[in-house]
Amino acid sequence: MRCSRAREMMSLSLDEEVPPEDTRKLQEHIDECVQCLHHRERIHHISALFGSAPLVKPTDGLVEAVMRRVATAEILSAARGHSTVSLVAAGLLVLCVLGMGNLFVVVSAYGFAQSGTVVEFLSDLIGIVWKLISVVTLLGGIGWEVVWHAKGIAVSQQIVFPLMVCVSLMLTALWAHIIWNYRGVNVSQER
Amino acid sequence: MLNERQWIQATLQGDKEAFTNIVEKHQGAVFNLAYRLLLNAVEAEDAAQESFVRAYTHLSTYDPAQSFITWLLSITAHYCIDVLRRSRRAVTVELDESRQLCDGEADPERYAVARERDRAIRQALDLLSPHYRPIVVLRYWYDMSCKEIGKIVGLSEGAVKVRLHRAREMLAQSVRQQGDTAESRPDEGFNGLKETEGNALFKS
Repeated sequence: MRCSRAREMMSLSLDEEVPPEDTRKLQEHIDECVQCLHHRERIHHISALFGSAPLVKPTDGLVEAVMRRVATAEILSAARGHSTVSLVAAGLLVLCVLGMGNLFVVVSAYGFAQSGTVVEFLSDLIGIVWKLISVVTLLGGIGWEVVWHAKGIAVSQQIVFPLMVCVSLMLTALWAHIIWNYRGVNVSQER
Repeated sequence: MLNERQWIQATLQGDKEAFTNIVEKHQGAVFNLAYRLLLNAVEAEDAAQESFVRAYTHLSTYDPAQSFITWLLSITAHYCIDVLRRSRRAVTVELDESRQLCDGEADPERYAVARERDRAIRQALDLLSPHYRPIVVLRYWYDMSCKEIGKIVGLSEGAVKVRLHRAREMLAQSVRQQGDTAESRPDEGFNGLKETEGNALFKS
């Protein structure tokens, strides 16, 4: 038997039953090989060292610390879920209200279109879309903020609300800019 | 008195008290695994907490056909392996309370032996990389078979046997090297423990 095979068998014999024939061959090898004899003593020393050590005990208060973290994890998870639901709900509500309100504007614009002013009709449609997007983002941001505040999450940990306000303001400004320019063209055309 | 299966069911239905019972029951096993893998009492406490939080948040994915402690230790082992891989070199921080190292009341002499043994074990485990350390710890402290260890660390039974063999080779090699130096400085190294008060530890 080679030394490498003998050492593999030494390790194996610590974890499971080795057939008697292999055990006999291993013993014969160890009787003749002093290096493998020392090797077996060393791995038995290691096994005895590890095997003699009991489980170390946890620090006091581990259970309480775990339950505090579990409670925090639950709050964060609930806040994320509620925020998403409230955001979607607020968005749908605003869409419905503004959709109804702006239906009148669309009908009026269509009236202009019937009289030949297609550009004016398209302009009104674009205006409505801008209005919808900006109001939804603004209200969604506010809804998000309210829910997170209710759950005790610090404002400093959030980026969603400021981001939504910025997007909303940018869209509103762009919409105002387009409408203002378009009116200017109309006035100059009338003159 | 509810059993573990009933605690798990109750936890899934929102009963936090039931989960407290689970934590109380398994905190020793989880903390010990984290401490033996990270070799750092402070990091081990954080890892134990994180393991339980992950078990709580993923409890719905637990398969009741499997052993719960095996599933829980699997979460701990994977978390600790990630921590070990992220940090280049483990900074060992020993336990500072005698109560944690000894069963029952610890007299100073027993505590000294236990402390010395703990130091020797940390020194030995520190030689092993994240590939080998969990396998050795699960084999010796949890008396798991190679098949069970394989399930936890995601290896075949054969691969676990090979790693155990290699880990023992590395440790035996280190014992041999330290044995040479221990002749001149017997108190150093985990092999040096043979020459000290804790020599009974090496008798199988």
